[in-house]
Amino acid sequence: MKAIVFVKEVAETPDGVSVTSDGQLSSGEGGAFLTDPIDPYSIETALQLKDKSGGEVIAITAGEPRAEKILKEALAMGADEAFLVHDEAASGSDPYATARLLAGAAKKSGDYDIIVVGERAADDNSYAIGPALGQHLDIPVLTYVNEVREFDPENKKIRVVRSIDGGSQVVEATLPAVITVVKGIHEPRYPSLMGIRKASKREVPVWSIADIGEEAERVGPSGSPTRMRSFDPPPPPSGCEMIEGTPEEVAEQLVGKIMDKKIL
Amino acid sequence: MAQSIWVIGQRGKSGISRATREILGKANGLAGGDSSAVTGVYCGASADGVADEMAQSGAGSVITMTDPRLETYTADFYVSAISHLAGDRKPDVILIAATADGRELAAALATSFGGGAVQDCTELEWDGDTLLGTRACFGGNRTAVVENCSPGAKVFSVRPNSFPVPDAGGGGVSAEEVAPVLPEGDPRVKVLEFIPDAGGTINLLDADVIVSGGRGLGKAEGFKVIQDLADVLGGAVGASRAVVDSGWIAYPHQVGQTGKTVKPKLYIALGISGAIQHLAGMRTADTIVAVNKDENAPIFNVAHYGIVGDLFEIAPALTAKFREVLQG
Repeated sequence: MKAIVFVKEVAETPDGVSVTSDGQLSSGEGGAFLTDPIDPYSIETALQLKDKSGGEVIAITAGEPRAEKILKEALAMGADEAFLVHDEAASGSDPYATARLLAGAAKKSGDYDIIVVGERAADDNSYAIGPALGQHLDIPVLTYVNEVREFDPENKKIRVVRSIDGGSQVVEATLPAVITVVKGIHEPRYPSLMGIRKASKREVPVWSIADIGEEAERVGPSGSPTRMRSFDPPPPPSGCEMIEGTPEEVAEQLVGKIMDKKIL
Repeated sequence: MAQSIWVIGQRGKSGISRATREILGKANGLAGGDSSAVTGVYCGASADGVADEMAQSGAGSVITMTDPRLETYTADFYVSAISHLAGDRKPDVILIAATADGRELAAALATSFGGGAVQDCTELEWDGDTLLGTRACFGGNRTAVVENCSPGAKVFSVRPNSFPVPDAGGGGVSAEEVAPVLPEGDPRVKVLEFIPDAGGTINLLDADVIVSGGRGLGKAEGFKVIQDLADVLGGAVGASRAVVDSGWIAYPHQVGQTGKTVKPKLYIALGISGAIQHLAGMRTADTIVAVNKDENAPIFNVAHYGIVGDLFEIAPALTAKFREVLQG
């Protein structure tokens, strides 16, 4: 069994983040970067599939060289291999250009049974990677997964529970497939000290866009269909009327105002 | 000539979903009231009544694609049906309600066109001939205005409750029925079962009144005062992410960037400090009341009425007063 997990580095806060003239997020240099908070759940999901079915878990990210750090965290948790897709031409990719890079990386890493990725990224919030990967790789996608009920790589079958509007949906698909996971699917394990020490010594191979069969104009800003025109803090607050008094007095005043204004 | 706008229809509990109607109304506005530019597109096992309902909310024409295999949404079949139709008819813009399935469909459909979707928009506006979507990033800490430069149709998903439901009018449109182009062979994805959320009363998206609780409740049992107030107002119970993450209440109650965006007439927040990610989901309410111990809590920045105090004293007093006024 081979599981691929795609992880992502995100800026810790948006304070140092700006938008380039190409309309893409630029994290600048000084800020702190973290593994996207959803990623440990993706990694844990893949590791549990491996615990049951045997095989290997491969962690991949597309990004800057510093993102090697988050791949080492994945290795420390228990991933078997890690690869970084990095190329000058791919810098400043929107989620859809990034999905091309990741699809190329999946193809290069050979036959896989499942791809696990977070439902959305904490920074751009785009809910794009999973469904876009499904199109590029022509495999089924199961989004918003909160439970893997059955995973049978031998018979190429997976059954999951999706968390969707109004309830849960039980869905079955053929493998290989992409699943996007929601927080809470499993409690992520902590890396062991031994795992951390071993991971720190590992080399992380770097793949260029040529290595994964992509072309410069299909990735980076030129291959990015979505472009931000602006990126600002949300609008300033409105005025708030404070109501004071004992609980009975404030209740009387507030209920009076709400009834007078026919809000109900 | 006005750009042609498609709105992909989703079904709700009865008929076309409220979110779809909101988007049809907005699409009509974007077309400058020229409803001939707005087409409702519907996929399903049957399309009874769909054309009229979509027309009443602003569609000038309706295309339906019916097939038993389209009864439940699956990306494989819906993307196939809609992308083939779009290939023939070449709409300029496609709008989809940003439900879980809607966001998946938007991203997959846009990728199939060689582009990308602008997801989760809370506002849409023209800049000349270019449609721009406004959306939240970084858990609501930033607002981005995004252009869609995709080749072909520009796909946007729109967060439910971002726009008012249009007054019903018009109608009398007869649907054009088109045979959907679907993949051959066995479906790769099979939907086996749908289990509705426990307590069918969690109707946050449609509620006129929402009473929400946060960390100030102290523990799961604290929700009793929230429930009591909601009951007397006939409202729904909401919650902040902090208390959902703590396991005090189930995720379907969560209001905020990673939960639901709500638009009730009255939103009462008790013991919610007002993290940006919560504000992103409730600042759309018509009237907001906040009760918090901390006078500097950010929730007061978006509230219309604020009360500084102990929610365990204030909430029961509000419940008693509302009961007296509403029930005589």
